[in-house]
Formats: sequence, C-alpha cells, structure tokens
Amino acid sequence: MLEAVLLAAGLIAGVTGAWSPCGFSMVDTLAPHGYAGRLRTTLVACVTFAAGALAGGVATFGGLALLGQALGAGGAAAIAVAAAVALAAAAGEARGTRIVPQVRRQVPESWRRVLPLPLAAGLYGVLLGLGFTTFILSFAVWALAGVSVALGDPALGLLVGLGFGIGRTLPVVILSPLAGTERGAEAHAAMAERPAILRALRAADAAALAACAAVLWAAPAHAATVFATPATDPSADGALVAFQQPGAGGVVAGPDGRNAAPGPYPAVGGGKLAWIGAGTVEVRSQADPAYVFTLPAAADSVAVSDGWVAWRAQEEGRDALYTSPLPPAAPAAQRVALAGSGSTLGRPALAGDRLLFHVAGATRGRIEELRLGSGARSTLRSAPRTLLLNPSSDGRRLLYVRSTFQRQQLRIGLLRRRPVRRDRSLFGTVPTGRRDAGHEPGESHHAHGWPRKLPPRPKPGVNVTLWTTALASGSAFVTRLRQDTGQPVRATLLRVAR
Amino acid sequence: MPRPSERLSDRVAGSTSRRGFLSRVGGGVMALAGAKSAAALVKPGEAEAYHFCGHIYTTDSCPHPTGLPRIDSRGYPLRARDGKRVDDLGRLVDRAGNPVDDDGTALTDPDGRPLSRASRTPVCKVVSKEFHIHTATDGAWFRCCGGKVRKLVDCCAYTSRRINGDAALTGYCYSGRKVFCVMYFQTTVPC
Repeated sequence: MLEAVLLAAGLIAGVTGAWSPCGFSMVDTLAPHGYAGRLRTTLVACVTFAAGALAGGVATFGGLALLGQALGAGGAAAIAVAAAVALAAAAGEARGTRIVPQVRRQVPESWRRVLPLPLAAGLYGVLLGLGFTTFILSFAVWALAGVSVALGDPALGLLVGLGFGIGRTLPVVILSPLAGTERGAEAHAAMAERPAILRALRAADAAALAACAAVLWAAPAHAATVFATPATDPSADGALVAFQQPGAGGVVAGPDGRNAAPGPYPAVGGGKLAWIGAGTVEVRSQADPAYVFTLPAAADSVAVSDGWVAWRAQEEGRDALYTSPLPPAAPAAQRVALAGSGSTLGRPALAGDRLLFHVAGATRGRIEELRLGSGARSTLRSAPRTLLLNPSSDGRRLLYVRSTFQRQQLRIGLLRRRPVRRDRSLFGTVPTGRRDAGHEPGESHHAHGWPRKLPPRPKPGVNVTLWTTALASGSAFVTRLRQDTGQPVRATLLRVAR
Repeated sequence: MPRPSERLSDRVAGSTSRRGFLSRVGGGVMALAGAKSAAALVKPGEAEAYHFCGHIYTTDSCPHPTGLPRIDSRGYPLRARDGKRVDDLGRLVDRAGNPVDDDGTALTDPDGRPLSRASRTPVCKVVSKEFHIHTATDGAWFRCCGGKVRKLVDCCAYTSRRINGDAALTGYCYSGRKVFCVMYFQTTVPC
C-alpha cells in the first residue's frame, strides 16, 4: 500500500511539474517543426528525455533515501515526521498555496542549439528529473524529498524517483510529437490558459500526499517486509545479516549481496562469524583470515560477539547454554544456564559480554541477562501467562517477541530491567491460537460491558508464530513461522523499520 | 448498555441468591422483565442461554484464551469446540504442554525443534491475577446441553462488581462471595 501511494504521489508531482517554464520549453524544443526538424528525431529525443528524467528522479529520491538510511532514519519517530510533512504539504496543495521555497532556475537554453537534439533532450531530462534544479510547481516535490529521507529505505526512494521521472516524462512525450498539429495546439493552449487544470493537478497532489500521510501513520503496525524466505534464526552485525535457509545452509547478507556462509546456522557479531560444524562450533574473524577457532560442542544454535561465543545444547533432554571467551582459554567452555523442570531456554544472543536468552517457564515467560565478565545474572523482562521469546540486542536496545492469547508483538526497549509494558511494539500480528466467537452457535452475546474488544484471530488451520529476532541499525528482523494444518512449517524472515 | 428489563432483572437478582431467585421467580418478574427472558429463567430441560447453553443470566464469561469459557474438571482451559487442551496463549497443546496443530502435529521451528511451551493456568486463577481479587470456584449447577450434562461453574470473589462492571450476583457462590464471571465443564453424561 505504501509503495502504491508513494509511486502515485511521485507520478502526479512529476506531471504537475510540466506546468513550469522548463516543462513548456521542453514541449516546444522537442517538437518536430522546431529543433528536431522531423518526427523521427522528435521520437528519439523523447526516448532520451524519458531516460534522462527517470535517471534524474531515481538519483534524487533514491539518493535522499540512501542519505536517510545512512543517518539511521526509518524509525517510528522519523515515520511520524514523514507523515506530518506529507500532511502539511497536502494542505498547501489543497489550498493552492504559492510554492515556497521556490527554485528559480531553468535548464540551459543553449544546449538545444549546440548539441544534437537527442543528447540535449537526455540532459534536459536529467535536469528535470532531478527535481530541484528547475522551477518546482508542487509542494509534493519537497514533501517526497522529506519522506524519502525519513523512511531511509532505498527501495522506496527508487520507487518515488521512478514515479516522479515518469510523471515528468509523460506530458512532454505526449505533447511534443503533436506540436504543430491542431490537437497539439489546443492541448498546449489548454495547459497555458486554463488554470483549472493545474488546480486539479494540485488537488490530486493533495489527495496523494494525504493518502501517503494516512498510510505512514498506520505504517508501524504493518511495516514488515519480507527480507528472505525461507529463512530463520537471524543475527546482525552492522550492515551484515546472517541467517539460516532451511534445507540449504547459512547465508550472510551484506552490502555486496548475499553469499553462502561457510557453514549452517551462521551468527555474526563483533566482527566475528560463527557457525555450527560437525560436533563443533566454528569461529572466524570477518577481517582476519588467520583468526580460526574450533570448539567441540553439540550445538543447535550459536551466537558470537567480539569477545565471546555462546551456544545452546541438549543435556539429558534439557536445554543448556554454554559460553567460551574469544580467543578460547582453558577451560574452553562453561555451562552458564540449564533449563529447569518444565521450562525451556531460547536461542542465545550476545551483545558484548552480555548473554541474552529467554526462559519459557511453567507460569511465566522471562528474558534473562548474564554478564559473562562478572557472572551477574538478572531478569530483564518477565510476564505471567506470556511467552517472551528470542531476545537480541545491538548493545543499547533489547528486541524480543511477546506472545499472548490476544496478540503477538515484536517489541523493543532499553537493554535494562523494566516492565514489558514500557517497551514499544514495532510489529504485531494475530495470536498463534485461534479464538472462537465467544458464544455458542445459535446464541448471541449480549453486550454488558465485557469483553471490551475481541482480539484478532488467524485463519482456521493456520498457526503463525513470531520467533527468532535480530537487531541491526535501522532495522529489526523477526522470523515468522507459519504451519498450516497438515503442512510443513514455512519460515520467513521479516524486516521491520525500527 | 443493558436494556431496561435486564437492568430491572439485575436489581431483582442482585438482592437474593440465584437458587432462591430461581425458585421464587414467577409471573410477576416474568411480566416485568419480559416474557422471553423470564421464561428462560424457569424453563426446565434443555436450557436457553445468553451466550452459551445452560447459562441463564447476563454475567459474562471469564477471560479464556479461546473465548468460550470451557474448562476441564480441574478448571484448566479447553477449546469449546472440541474440548481439546489449550495453553494460556490459546494454542492447542498435547499432554506434555507442547503446542500442536489441529491434527495434533507438533508446532516446530524449521529444524523440527518444538516451539516453546507456554503456561497453562486455571481460568478462575487467571481472573484472580488479572483483576487483583481473590477468587474461588464454589458451587455449581448442572443442565442439559446438546444431549450432554453440562456443569455451570461460577468464578466467585468477595466483590460487589462482576466482570461486566456492574453489580455482582450471588449465583452459586457461597460464604458471602458473589459471581465475578462464569465458566462451564462439559461432561460426557447423556441427558
């Protein structure tokens, strides 16, 4: 939905830009009877103009999104700011307010005289596509720039840029070949002499921006995008995200793309990479090829930081967590936690020397922290009749899944002891269990003040579980397990803006 | 908001015990409270209900992970539709407490490792924790529902308010306690 409204807003903003001095000039410049001299040259120039406009739009809005990403934008506050900017711009457009600040520049006129027209058209296209190099006819251009930075998502920035480029292109490539004809003259006259057309376009800009604002307001609950599928058990270290592809092996995704990890169940952290070998836990440095350590362990999950490696193993049917300093020192491995009767321990996560894991107990769920340096253990979160699952951290924030019969949430909060309710929900979905209607068939539920609100429920036969997490700068990751009755489990790795 | 006839019935019922109330209600209350609801109060055999069979008054269900407040003989939550065990998250669970799907297949991660077990708490005990009141299951009443005998169970507390937010009734509670919310246990005894 967000993608659609951003694309539409970019498109309409681009079309509105045709009512600028440069927009009018382009129609005349590319006309067959003018500098082109013939229709064929006009058509070629239209193609190069379109390519230039698209490139310019992508460069501007994609670049702004990259800037936002570098600044760590994309969080809930930034999204709220983006929504407010879109709403303010929508109000300005709806009222037809004069554009401020205005860019009072035009493309160089001489290019059409000194350069071959297709080349000049391409360069003109780039300048018009860039948006801020010529007159701006809509607040939407400013608003979409702000939204692109605030969202910090290059894919969304690219989409806005494409929409804007297409919008910049359409009026020019439609009207230029017609220039000199009766219909072309009428259309050109209408553009120039009927202010209602521009008012209508600005109203459409307002509507598109208002839709953007509405979708952005609703975004925090629906902002998850599929990062990889099938995929599970993520971990993050700076720009690197490691995860397991069930049935295939480990994957490490980074700026240079996605590469196979050296082994299954990879984990990254503190510049290290660890994975599970054949009865071993393997640790490597991401920078130093000589940094190679192998620890004997029958692990089923692993975590690593700059100074520690941790793993979970089974001990007489109970979960046990082990740690070892890096580089390993004698005694290499130490058991630091063992599940009590009736409880299970979650996958370990490391943030420096802080080991994090969940305990699913008989009466409550807990997230525990163990300071590996001092041995101090504390409960960071605890809630009765609730599962608090698979924590992860970037050293400052704690990310985990909270699951009740009413809701499953991906929650984030400070990495210190405090109540669950003080944490913020980044993403939510239906509970794993499916409730009934609250009354038997043929009966009706009389409203007497209770229940106040019925929770959402999954489709029949569908069991959705939010599972393992990872916290990176700007993004949170969570595995969504879906098990339809009679079908094997499917794991999808979701990315959620922080 | 309750209808006027229901508010009146609430006041009448609130001033007495449910057993006494059921034995004494007659034509006068029937005329005041409306023929349909009052007829339900005295109708024998297959019970009419407000939101589940056998429950003849307006006190609402105790919070239950899957909605309808079906419990087992020890007060733990069951899924109303088929009587299968559910945990506090509303997931079907096996005897060991591991979550399963509708076919009884374990819910697992992609490696086949069972998902974490959640707690399973008696429904009336959850009420105690959630509403910060001391609760107890006192008396009960049996009715015929769907051809099987059903035990109607009140979750009682020393409270003047019921879960709906208005005045609580005595119902099947004793020792001065009143009904906070209701549950039921479905037997296999035919009727």
